[in-house]
Amino acid sequence: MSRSRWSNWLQNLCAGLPWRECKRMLAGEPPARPNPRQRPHQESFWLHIKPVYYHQAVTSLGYTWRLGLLSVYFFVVELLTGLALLAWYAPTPERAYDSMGVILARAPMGELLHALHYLAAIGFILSVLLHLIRTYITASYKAPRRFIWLTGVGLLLLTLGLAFTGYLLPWDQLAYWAVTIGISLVREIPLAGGWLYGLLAGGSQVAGPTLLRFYVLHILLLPLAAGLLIAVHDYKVIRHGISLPSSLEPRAHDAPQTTIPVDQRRYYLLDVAVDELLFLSWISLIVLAMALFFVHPILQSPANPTHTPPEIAAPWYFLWLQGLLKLGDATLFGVILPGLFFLLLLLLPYLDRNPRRQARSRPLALGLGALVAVALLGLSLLGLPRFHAQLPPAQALAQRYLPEEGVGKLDALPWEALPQGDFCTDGQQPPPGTPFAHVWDDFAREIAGAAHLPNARGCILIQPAQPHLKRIQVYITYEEAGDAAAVLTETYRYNAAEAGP
Amino acid sequence: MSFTRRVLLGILATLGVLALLGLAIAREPQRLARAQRAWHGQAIARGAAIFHDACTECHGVHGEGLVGPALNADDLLVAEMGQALPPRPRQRGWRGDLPAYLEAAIRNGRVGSKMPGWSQQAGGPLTDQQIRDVVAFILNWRHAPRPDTPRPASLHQRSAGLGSYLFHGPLGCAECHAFDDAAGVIGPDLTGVIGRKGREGVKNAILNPNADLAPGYAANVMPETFGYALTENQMRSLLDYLEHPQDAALQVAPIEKSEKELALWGKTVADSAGCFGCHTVDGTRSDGPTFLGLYGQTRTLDDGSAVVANDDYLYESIVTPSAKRVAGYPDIMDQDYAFRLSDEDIRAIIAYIKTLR
Repeated sequence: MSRSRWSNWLQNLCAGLPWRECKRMLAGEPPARPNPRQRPHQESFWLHIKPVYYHQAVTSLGYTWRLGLLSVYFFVVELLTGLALLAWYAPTPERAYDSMGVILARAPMGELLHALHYLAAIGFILSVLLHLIRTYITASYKAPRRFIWLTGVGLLLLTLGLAFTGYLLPWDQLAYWAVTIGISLVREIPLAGGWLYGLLAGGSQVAGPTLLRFYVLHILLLPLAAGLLIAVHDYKVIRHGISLPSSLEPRAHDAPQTTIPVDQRRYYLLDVAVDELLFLSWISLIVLAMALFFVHPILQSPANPTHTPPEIAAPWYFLWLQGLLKLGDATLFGVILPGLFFLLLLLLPYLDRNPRRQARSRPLALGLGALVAVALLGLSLLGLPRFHAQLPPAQALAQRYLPEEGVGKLDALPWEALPQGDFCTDGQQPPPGTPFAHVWDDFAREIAGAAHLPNARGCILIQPAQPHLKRIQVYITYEEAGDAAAVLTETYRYNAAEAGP
Repeated sequence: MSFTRRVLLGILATLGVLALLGLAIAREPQRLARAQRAWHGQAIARGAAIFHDACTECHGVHGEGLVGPALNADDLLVAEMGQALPPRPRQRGWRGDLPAYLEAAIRNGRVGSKMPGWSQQAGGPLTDQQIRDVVAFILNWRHAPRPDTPRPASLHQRSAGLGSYLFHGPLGCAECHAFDDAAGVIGPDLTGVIGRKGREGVKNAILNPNADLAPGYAANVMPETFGYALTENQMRSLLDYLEHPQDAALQVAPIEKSEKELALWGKTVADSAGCFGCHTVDGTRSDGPTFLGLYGQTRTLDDGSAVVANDDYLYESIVTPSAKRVAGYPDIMDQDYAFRLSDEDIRAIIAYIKTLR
């Protein structure tokens, strides 16, 4: 290769920078004059999204926590993993749950893709929320950046919409009933409620049309809207500049690149870019490790519209709404109050006319913010299942050992540890010292000590049902107001480790 | 933090990401196998609960049959030798596979009997998903030992039969190994080998012959290529044969059929096995060679050699399609016909091909 071809090639590799300048950049030296590092930002699509340089005060991790970047990162992870999952997912009630089986048990790396999609969704919501909180605390939403805040709240709503529509797609009991309850709020909207419910659900209850509509919203309309809004948001941020710390910018004003003094500039190439890549590489490592080893999304049994599960939990980011609903009327507490809250949040920069940004100059705003945060946390706490109407004590006891969904004390035991037999508190006892005997002892103690269950008698029945299949039952009889009452839960356990496919 | 330090830390994290991905990819085959069994098991367990609520009243807790017919029965679950389907669906003229038969019976019910249609389309309570779960539960009885009913050709025996064919035929195991202290063999005697080493141990010894040599035998005598040559099903059949060599003998007993009957049957088998998806019978070219005039012809293989399409060649090409492939055709034929079709089926297909001249 001739020398000029070499240098052309190197120049292409360096985003269009001459090799001499590229070397200076890689060594972390300041640019030559006139600055050749502007050119890639003008000519490259990806780089033109980023400014040539930032004010050094806004590039420290401790100021912005790079939460905007992090949100976009999670959005992109969602897009990529989501696109891959599309290859196996079928949005019909007949096939949706089985296609989860295809994703988890047939698709190569399917379980990891699913876990990443789930985890990045949580990361997405968290980073968007924290981004909003950071912007509120540093008062970065004030004029001339009011519109940025507006688009940001819009993105928060889209994020919640994406999470909610995605929640339904696995079509298991958890998804079906949480969405059934969530979407029923739409009915409570004054005037247009019934019509809007029909539009969203495609019928009078959550069914095939709902799944298809949520699917289209989840994979097409909402991501498209979010992508566009992110572009607007990003453009405006660069236009007005990231707001400086309030000590440098006590009253909000534009801080675009051109206003930054030469000695306070930090170049994107390659200085800030390395910061961002370093940050994202560690985030990637953490997310991947969590998806591989620690986080396993719950998949309950297939959606069954004819059977309401004993406990229905909203996803954590809607717990506050579930808590709010417990306070009273669904129209007032489920629609009007949350709607008002989001409206105020959206219009905050136009309502807060205080031009000063320093914390000591805005006690009302910060006080109100703290109050709202405490209220949301308190409402979320109230929304937890433990503040639901409690199950009757006998049923609660049976569910602890053999729950309808998930794993209880009894089915946490491995297959071999479940001996065949009908064990009863007043009858046959299991051989002592075995793992099953420990669970049995707990069970017998709870039956004997249950104050609400007079004359209680408990049995655990384990019988073979088929090759590699055991039937497990928990049976409790007691007296209720002088009458005999009984509770039975049962499950089947398949020995997947031993049996062939 | 200095520039170099940041770059190094970033590279460190990137390497960590790559290492984790590598680990995940390395573990993936085992994870998939485990997840498939677990998923299938969950379907069976769910089906069991539904069966217990909805079906036991007529079919019995163990599927033994009360008002309704027995479901835990060979004539519903096990196809005899030479048949693609068990007798009961066959007598009803069913052309699909067994799961589809059970699914249709549950979904639509039986007109003129007490069996209602269980699907929601037929006015019943069950979703499609639940019906599939019940089918998975019923099919799990195939693994149940039922000593009181004779099994003319259990799946196990069919499998052992295929293993025997592989052992003595294409794999050539019999050239070096034998049973019962036969004289003049090169490799170790295989009598009771599964009992000594376990199925996993024998499998490993086939895939990796030099890792665990029997005392007194030299390394590098047995080829190391069997791992590539065998599908999962073929390996299972081979192990079945090594475990119970006597089972394979049960399968060999031929059913007396005239050549014409056999050919007629062969056409049905070829149709239901999907042969006509790739092979025509009118001479036109498709994904596979046409059957018309195939028998007795000399074919050029993709390695340049020539072979006469006689019984042995056709048999081998159905059981191990990639072994001797006709030049100019892609290597796309399913490798598991040996497992899906009985020996008799394959003979019948060959008899059918013979008639196409």
